[in-house]
Amino acid sequence: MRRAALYLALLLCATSFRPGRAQDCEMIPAYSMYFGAGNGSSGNSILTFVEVEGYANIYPTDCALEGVTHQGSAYNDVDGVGNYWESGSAVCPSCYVYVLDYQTLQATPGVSYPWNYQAKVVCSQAGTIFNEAGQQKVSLVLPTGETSEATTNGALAPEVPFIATLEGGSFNGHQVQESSGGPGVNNCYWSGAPIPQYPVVQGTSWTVGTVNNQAAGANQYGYDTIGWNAYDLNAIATTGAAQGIKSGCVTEIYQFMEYWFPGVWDMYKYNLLTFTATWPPQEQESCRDEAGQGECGSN
Amino acid sequence: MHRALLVALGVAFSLWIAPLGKAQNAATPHQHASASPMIDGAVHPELIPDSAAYRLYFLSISTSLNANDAERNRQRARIRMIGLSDSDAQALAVVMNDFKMKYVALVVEYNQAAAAHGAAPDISVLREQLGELVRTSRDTLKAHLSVQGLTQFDAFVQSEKQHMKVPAEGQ
Repeated sequence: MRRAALYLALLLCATSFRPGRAQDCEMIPAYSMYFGAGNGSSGNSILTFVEVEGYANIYPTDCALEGVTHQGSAYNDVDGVGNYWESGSAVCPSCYVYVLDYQTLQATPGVSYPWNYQAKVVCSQAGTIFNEAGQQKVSLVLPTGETSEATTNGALAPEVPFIATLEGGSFNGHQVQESSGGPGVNNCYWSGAPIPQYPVVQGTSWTVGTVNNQAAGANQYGYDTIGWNAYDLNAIATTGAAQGIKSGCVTEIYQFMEYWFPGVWDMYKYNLLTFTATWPPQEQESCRDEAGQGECGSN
Repeated sequence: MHRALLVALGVAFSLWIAPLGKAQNAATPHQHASASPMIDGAVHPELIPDSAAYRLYFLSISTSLNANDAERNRQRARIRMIGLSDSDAQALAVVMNDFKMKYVALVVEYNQAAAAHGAAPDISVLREQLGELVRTSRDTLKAHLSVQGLTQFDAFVQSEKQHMKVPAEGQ
């Protein structure tokens, strides 16, 4: 009887290692998920995506799993847009799975929207074998600020060219512009002067990623040229001086910086622009930044 | 003893033939072992291999040759997030679309083999092929992007690891 039991055990062992025997197969999922959000390509749009990719390791490799399929799916719901599962084809268990689901939401600057995302792979027999999910708020990405750098360019002297660098995201290709923060203060002004008593910005716009119409570094734009031109500076130092204007007179201009979303300019920074005229010799120092605490330079 | 052996053979034979008929009519039973532990890039971005990060990123920004306008716009928006110059952005798009074409070809070939054989081809071969594709694509980018653009690009992909979850093994 003992020998009979041994025969039985050996035979059972042999059958369990028979190639193609499904119950001998073991699968280990090896799937990845990648998700993200950012500004869309046009309009006030937010772009979100969910990606799932990978495979299942099968042991032993010669397992035959007739009728079993694996299907990858992605869920990418941003404020109700994309409120469904985007699924790839149902493929064989050892097949490579890849699904990418993009959604675009028309958004309002300053508004946060709920975003729910999920990636899963479902086995037709075992159910969900991979499942990763998350949720967060998304909004249009706006510049959070900028830094300024004074540089030199002989052709522009004595005005001072500044290069600004946006902060808070990647904005190359987008437009920024300046607008007036109100009438400025001109301590170099005298009655009849050829310069404005209450100076304001000129309303220049720039393409981010370019400086002086040349390709520049990430988020850079310029020049923002600040100060009196040579003619005005000479007038201040000569005619103005004769009218009692003192060397070292300061002019202040209030600059709002705005970022363009099609349909709306969104202000992201306030800059106080100051320039100080001195003579002799006729020179000028210009500063560009909030509260005048920023970068200054001469040209 | 002979009788006991006969019984044993009978039981074994029935176990042998049972699944043959069953497999033709219904899904075959199998086991899903516990998935490999996941690396959450939001917690441990440094543990996400570059090969996996670049592959996932490349796939997400690449388009096929016959991409429609919406797909091209999405690609532009994604690439714009890096902050590249126009020339670098254009070069990146070209390399990425070539990556996508080759990736799809490799995966289709693997999946067709897997489906046809009814058993798993050697996944390690495909993994090596995909890894090599990522490497050659990165080399191509090194040759076509400006030094500054490449630095920006690499830094951006590294930062994207925080949005990735990959298995601890099998990458």
